[in-house]
Amino acid sequence: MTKENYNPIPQPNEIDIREKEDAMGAYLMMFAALGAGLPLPVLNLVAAIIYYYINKGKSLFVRFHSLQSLLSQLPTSILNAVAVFWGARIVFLDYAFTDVFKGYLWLVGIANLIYIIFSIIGAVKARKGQMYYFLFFGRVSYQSVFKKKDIDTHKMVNQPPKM
Amino acid sequence: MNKNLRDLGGIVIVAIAIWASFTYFSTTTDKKDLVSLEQEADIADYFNRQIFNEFDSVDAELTDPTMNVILNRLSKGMDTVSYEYDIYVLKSDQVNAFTAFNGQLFVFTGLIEQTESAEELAAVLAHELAHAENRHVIKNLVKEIGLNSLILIISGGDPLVMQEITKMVVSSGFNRSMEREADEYAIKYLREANINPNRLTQFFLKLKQKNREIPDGLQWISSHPALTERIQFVSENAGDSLNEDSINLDWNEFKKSLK
Repeated sequence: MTKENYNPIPQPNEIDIREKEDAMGAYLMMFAALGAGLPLPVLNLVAAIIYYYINKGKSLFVRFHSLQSLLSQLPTSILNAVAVFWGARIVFLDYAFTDVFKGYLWLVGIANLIYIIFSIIGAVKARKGQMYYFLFFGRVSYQSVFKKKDIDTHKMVNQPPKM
Repeated sequence: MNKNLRDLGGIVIVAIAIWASFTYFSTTTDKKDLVSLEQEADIADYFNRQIFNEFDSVDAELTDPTMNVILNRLSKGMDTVSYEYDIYVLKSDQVNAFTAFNGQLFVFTGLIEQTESAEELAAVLAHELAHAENRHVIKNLVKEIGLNSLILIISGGDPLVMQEITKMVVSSGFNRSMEREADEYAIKYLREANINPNRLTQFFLKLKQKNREIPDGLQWISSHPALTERIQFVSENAGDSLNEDSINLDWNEFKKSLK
């Protein structure tokens, strides 16, 4: 993976205000969706996917932040969905409220807290036109967004038939 | 790519570690002491008034001698006796028995009607005593309405709220684990008191049979989850057969006297 395979990273002075706001919006929109999605945490995931597809064509900077926001909320959404499903079984189907579930709720709480803190930092940095890489998700988003897609893809190589 | 896998692995490991450690160092507090026995005695006063408003009770002079014989026998099998137990018999066709507060147990005449022997009623009462000893009613209320509301109610005694609580207690809505725990304790009490724990199985089976014939009025059994599962549990855990020391009571005579 050489640097030549990646598009150059835009610098803050190259990004216009509109892009900065769109990038910030990717993080902030999640908070609105998080509240609406609480009873059914998959909702905010749907909102994030829609936001990503609307913005992916705008610029690499906006696309990167949208994708990072989308990917980073995946684990939290799954954790929340499992918590809701598990909790519903306890409330409606009389399953035991075990220590394992309590431990899980702590995990869910901590995961949400970390996600929210990082999203706020992400939003602030995006507004300033900076790149900000979350652990794991930052690199994955960078690789996905900035990697040059059209290298060698147009070169047609004729092959002999399969024998 | 390797770095991605490494980071992802790290995140997963940290998440599992958080889950495991919070499960291990669980914040479960033993709710035993959250409501003191004095507070429970207060709530019992309100509760009993409510119950006796709603149901006619059989004269205690008539039932006490019989109930005390059973209670004395059962108390021999109990490792702890937290309350001075009182057993009240309420006039109703409901096949129901429930544990209330401060060691007050209630049995409906409908349930006594279904029993064939004093040992069978003892088995039902052993189950209810187990709920009481483990303070399941209070734990359940704390779980349902929260500790603060419960304390407020105890100090205020709002009649409307008490009415709701009464409904909850009479319908004995315990969860599976509480029922399982009460069955476990009941088996222990019965064995120690020289009563065959399968008396409980016998009663369950009879009610399961009756349940098909008269679906109404069997709240006690229908509200208890997974009856078949419980029959299996009790019969499997009843232990080796023991020579039952029968309770010296004329059961048919007692049943007749209730009518």
